[in-house]
Amino acid sequence: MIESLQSDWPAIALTLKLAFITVLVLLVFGLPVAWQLAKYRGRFKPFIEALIALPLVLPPTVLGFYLLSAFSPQSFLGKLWIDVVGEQFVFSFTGILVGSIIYSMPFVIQPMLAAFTQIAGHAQLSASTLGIGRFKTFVFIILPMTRASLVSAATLGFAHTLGEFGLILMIGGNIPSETQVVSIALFNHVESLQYESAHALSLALLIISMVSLTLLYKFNRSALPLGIGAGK
Amino acid sequence: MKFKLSHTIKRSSKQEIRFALEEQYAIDSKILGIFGQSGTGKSTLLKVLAGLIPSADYSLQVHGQDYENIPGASNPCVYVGSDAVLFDHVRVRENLTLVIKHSASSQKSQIDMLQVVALCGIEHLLNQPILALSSGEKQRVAFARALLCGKSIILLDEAFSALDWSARLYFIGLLSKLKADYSFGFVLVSHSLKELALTCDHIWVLQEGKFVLQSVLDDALDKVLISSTQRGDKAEGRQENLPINGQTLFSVLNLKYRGVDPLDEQLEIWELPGDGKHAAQQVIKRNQSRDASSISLTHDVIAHVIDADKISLTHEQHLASSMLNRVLVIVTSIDEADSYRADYPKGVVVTMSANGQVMRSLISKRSYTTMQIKVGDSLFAIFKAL
Repeated sequence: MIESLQSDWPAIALTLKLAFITVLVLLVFGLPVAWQLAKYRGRFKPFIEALIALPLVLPPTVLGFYLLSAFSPQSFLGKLWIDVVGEQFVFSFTGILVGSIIYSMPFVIQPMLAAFTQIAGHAQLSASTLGIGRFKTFVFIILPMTRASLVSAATLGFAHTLGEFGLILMIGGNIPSETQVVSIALFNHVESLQYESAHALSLALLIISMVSLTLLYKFNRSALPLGIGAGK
Repeated sequence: MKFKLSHTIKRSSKQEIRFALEEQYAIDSKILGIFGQSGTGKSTLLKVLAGLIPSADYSLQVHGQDYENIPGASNPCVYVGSDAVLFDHVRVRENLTLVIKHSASSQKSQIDMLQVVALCGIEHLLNQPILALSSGEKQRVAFARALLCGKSIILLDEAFSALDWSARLYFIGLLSKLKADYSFGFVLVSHSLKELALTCDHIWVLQEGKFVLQSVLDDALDKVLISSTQRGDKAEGRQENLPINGQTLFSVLNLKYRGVDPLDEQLEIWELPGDGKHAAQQVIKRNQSRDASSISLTHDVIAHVIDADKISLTHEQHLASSMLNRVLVIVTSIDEADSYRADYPKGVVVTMSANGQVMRSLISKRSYTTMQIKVGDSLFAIFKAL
C-alpha cells in the first residue's frame, strides 16, 4: 500500500500545491473584492453575485470546456497567451490553476462576503466616526473580526480544490507531474484495474479532507467572537 | 460650536426627508438638545452632522473652523447611537485601546483612558467580552470610547436610553462636567424633554424634518412645559403645533448639594440658592445610590426635575404633613391647563417663582377657587422628597 502511494506521490504533491496556490490567490484577490462587494449597493450587485456563485451550479465540465475553447492554441486568447507567456495555456499547470481559481471562487468569496456584509456596515460606520481610516479599519478591525469566516473560506476552498476532477480533465488532461492530480490518478488506477493503488489514494484523499475539516471546526470555534464558543 | 444646516436627504426614492431651512441656523451652544417624536428625523440629522450620510449637504463651524460635508473619519463629530455598536471580537479594554491606537484624532484627546474608565464606571467591565455585556453596559462603553477618540463634539443619539433613570441622570450630569473640564461639546437627541432640560443650553424641536422651534431653554419652550430660571411671563403660544404630546408638565430646579440629612441617612439635604431678595431654602432629596461608579460630580449646582402634578400648594406655613419639602414661592401666573396643551387634564397651572427659579404646579380648578390664588401671592409649594 505504501509503495503504491509512493508512486502516486507526484500526484499528491501536485494536488496539494494546486490547492495551496489556489487558496492563496483567492485570499489575496478575494478579500478586497468581497470587501468592496459587501459595501457596493449598485444595480449590478446581483449580477456580480451570480457570477461569483455560478461555479457552484455549473457542471465543472462546462467550465472546463469553455476555458478549453477560449484558450486553445488556435484561439485568439490561446495565441496571445503563447506569445506572452511562451507556453500554451491548456494542458499546463497554469491552466488548471486558473480553472481551480474560478471553480473554487464561490467557496472562498461567499463566506467572506457573508461575514463582511453582516458586520461591514455597522462596524465600519462606528470605526469611521471614531476617526479610524478605511485601511486601518479593514486591517485592524474588520479582518480580526471576521477571522473565523476567513479561516472557513480558506479551508473550504482548499478542501474543494482537492476534489476537482471534471474541470481538470477537460483543461489539463492527464500529464503526470504537470496536470495529473490525485482524482485523475485515481481514475487511471481504476481504469487499469489497479484497485490496491486506488484504495490507497482514495484513503489518502479522504484523510486529508477529513483532517482539514476537523481542524477547521476545532480551531474556528475559538476564533468565533468572544463569548460564543467558550465553554462548549 | 455653531451649526449651519441646509440640506435635503433622500431617505428612499419615495420618501424624502428634508431639513428644509429657509434660513440657515447658526447657534452657539455647548450642549444642544434635539427633541422630536420618533420618525421626525432626529437620528438622520445627527448622522448628517457626523458625515455618515454621504449625500447630505451641510456645514458646521467648530471653534471658528468651517467644515463642509466632511466624511466620517475626518469629521469633527463622533456619533454614538443607542444601539452602541462595539467591536465585539475583542474585550472592552481593546475596544478602548483600538480607538486610542488607530484613530487619526486620538492624539488630540485631552482625557486619558483611566479618567474615562473611572468617569463612566466601567473598571469592572474592562476584561469582559462584549457579548457578555448588557445593553446598558454597552452604552457606557460606547460613550467611553467616543470620549477617547479625540473628537471634541459628541453626538448622542439616545445614547443612554438603556440605562436606568438614576444612571441616566448621572451621565447627563457628567456631560456638564466634561464640557467644563475638557471642553467637549455635545448634541443630544432624545424623546424625553426632561432629559434634555437637565443639561442642554439650547433645544431644537424637530417635526417631520423641519425645525419648528429653536430655543434657549428658558425661552419659548418654557411657556410650554419647561421652566428654568427667571421666566414666568406669558409668551404668546405657538405650542399647539409642537410635537410634545405625551410629555408631562414639569419644572427644573437647580440645587446645591449640602450633605446627608442628619435625621435620616437615606435622605440628602440640597439647597435652593438665595437670589438676593430671598434667603436660601432647603430641599430634601432621596439618597439614591447615584451610580455604580459612585463618583460625585463636582460642579456645585445640579438640575433636578419635578413634575407639576407632584407639587401641592398651601397658605399654611406649619401645616403638618408627610411631605418633606416646603418651599416659599410667589405666584407669577395662572393659566388653564388646557390652554397649555390639549392633552393635559382639566385644571389650573400655577407658575411660581422660587428664589427666582420657576416652579409649576398642576392643581384642580376646585383647589384653585377654594384657595383663591392670585398672581403676586406668597404660597408654600409642598412636595415629597425628590
